[in-house]
Amino acid sequence: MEELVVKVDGKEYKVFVEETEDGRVLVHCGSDVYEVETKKDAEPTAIQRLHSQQSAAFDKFEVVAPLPGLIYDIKAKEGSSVKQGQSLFILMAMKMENDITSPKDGILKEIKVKKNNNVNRGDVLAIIE
Amino acid sequence: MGSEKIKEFLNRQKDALNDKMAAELQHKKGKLTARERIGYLLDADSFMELDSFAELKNTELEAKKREGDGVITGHGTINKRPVYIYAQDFSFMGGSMGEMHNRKISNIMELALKTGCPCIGLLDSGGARIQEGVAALDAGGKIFQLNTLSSGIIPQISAILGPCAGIAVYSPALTDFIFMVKKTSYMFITGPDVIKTVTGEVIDFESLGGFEAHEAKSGVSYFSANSEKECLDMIKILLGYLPQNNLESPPYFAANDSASRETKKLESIVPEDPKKTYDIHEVIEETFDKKSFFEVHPNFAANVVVGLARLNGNVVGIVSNQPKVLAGCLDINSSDKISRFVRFCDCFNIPIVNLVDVTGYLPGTNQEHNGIIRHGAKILYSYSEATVPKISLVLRKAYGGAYIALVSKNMGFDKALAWPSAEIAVMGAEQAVSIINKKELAAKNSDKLKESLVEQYKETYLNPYVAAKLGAIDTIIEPKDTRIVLIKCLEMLLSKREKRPAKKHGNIPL
Repeated sequence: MEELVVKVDGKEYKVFVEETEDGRVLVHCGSDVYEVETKKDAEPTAIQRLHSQQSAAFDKFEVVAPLPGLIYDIKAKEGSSVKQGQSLFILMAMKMENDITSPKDGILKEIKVKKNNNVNRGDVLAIIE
Repeated sequence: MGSEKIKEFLNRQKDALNDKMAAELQHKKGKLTARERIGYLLDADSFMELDSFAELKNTELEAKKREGDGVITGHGTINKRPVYIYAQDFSFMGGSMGEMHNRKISNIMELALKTGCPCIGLLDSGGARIQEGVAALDAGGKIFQLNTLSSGIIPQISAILGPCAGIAVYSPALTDFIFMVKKTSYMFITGPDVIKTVTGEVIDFESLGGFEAHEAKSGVSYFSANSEKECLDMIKILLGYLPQNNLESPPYFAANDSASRETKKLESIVPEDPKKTYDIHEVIEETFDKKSFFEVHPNFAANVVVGLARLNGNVVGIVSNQPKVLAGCLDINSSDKISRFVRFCDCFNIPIVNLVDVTGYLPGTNQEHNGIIRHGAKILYSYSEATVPKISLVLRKAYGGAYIALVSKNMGFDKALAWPSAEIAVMGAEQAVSIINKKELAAKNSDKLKESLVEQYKETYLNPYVAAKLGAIDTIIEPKDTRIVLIKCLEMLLSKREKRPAKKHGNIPL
């Protein structure tokens, strides 16, 4: 049995993977057992790091929309350095111009939205490194 | 009586009060001992310890027993006011809650309730003492019962100064306020080990139940301090706003701030453009007695700001919207935050002042499916139930249900004030026009028509005069008179007495 740490929906789980004699693959997670299909020769996919607000180990940081609305203005340039608290976007929501600020100091690596885009709560607006 | 008896007593007491073992363990971790914490918090030489010779009865643990059974209990004064206090000693069996440990705590809680004095718990415990089984659990039940019976009669404050696991968390959860210390406190029902066994999930103490999880996500913790001493200092500050019990008024401290001070700065703090946001903290600082604001739950549901402050020396509870977070709208967490605070103020005779600038409720299936209906109803219930003076000032927006919840005189607010910038209506212009003028706009879909209808709606409805004509707003004031008027209203309402029909208790939506 092989011990692995897997991440599902942002939560980490310690699991034991077992290959049975008849070729099935079982995954033991806590007190549950799951039978899974495995792909051989699969293309390695880029593992997306989900951000954790407490962890400084992650160096990518996603700026998300706190409520649904419209991107009214983009206040900083892609590639520029930004400070914690600096205004990055104006999000028009609930009839107000909401300031979306940078959660930390860093480089505004990527802006993922354009002016007049509609966004939902939780949509990623930018990545700070 | 011979001096031998006295000598024996002094020796026994020396052993019982010996802090050496605790000091060795705690100081290594950079923490204070239970006795040191009490010594720091209470007035010097005021502490009288009770039950210092109590010992566990369980025969299995006979060899390990120590006087006091892992908790220091007693009474003393804080700024000359009597309080009852208990502090768990982590150096004895992990601060675990055995039968006698729990009995000691319920003893002082009973005295606190009988004498109408605040009760403070300094928690530092791994949870129930396994070997003592049901005896420990049942004795713990008495603590929870006393927390509940005392609720609304005496202020109950808990500080989590270390681990607080399993049944140890329930007493704090029943109290009025919980303090946590950054990087020191943890609270959870089931710890990381148990979670890993049952669900396989891997998580550390800090992420699971540290101060960040509880101050921002769960809302279980109300205050986060940077150190143990700062935490104890904050408890003292909090007590300064509270009466000893529900039969007393909150303490009055003459203000170092004139009652006739104009607040012209408010005109520039709140932007003229209703679409622009601002920080409500600035409004609070300018209006209430200088430096008197003590924010409660600062990092939970930040779209609403609540806390204790003073107006010309009198304690008030402030409930306000924070326009720069989530556009100041209401949602599930802020409904809980407001209702809890309003009910606390009502318990302890603290008048409430609302500063209203709310655009509505946060839309979305997430809110709907998690019960914004029943959580939002808590706000209506708490304000209607409250018999303390309730004053509401509309700064800018007050729409729909949020208007009723935070301003409506018929719902129980004693005074409803408004600035000239107030917009009080069922809903905003664009939304309203799309509903009321649906047919017109369907027939002739022109942006110009819509614009003119929106302007018309704004002129007709989005001002305080419509409400004032109906008596729904009783006074419109200039921002520069805000402090002066709020003080006058408050002082006029301090003698308010209101009856409620007798009943066992209501059925607040939970």
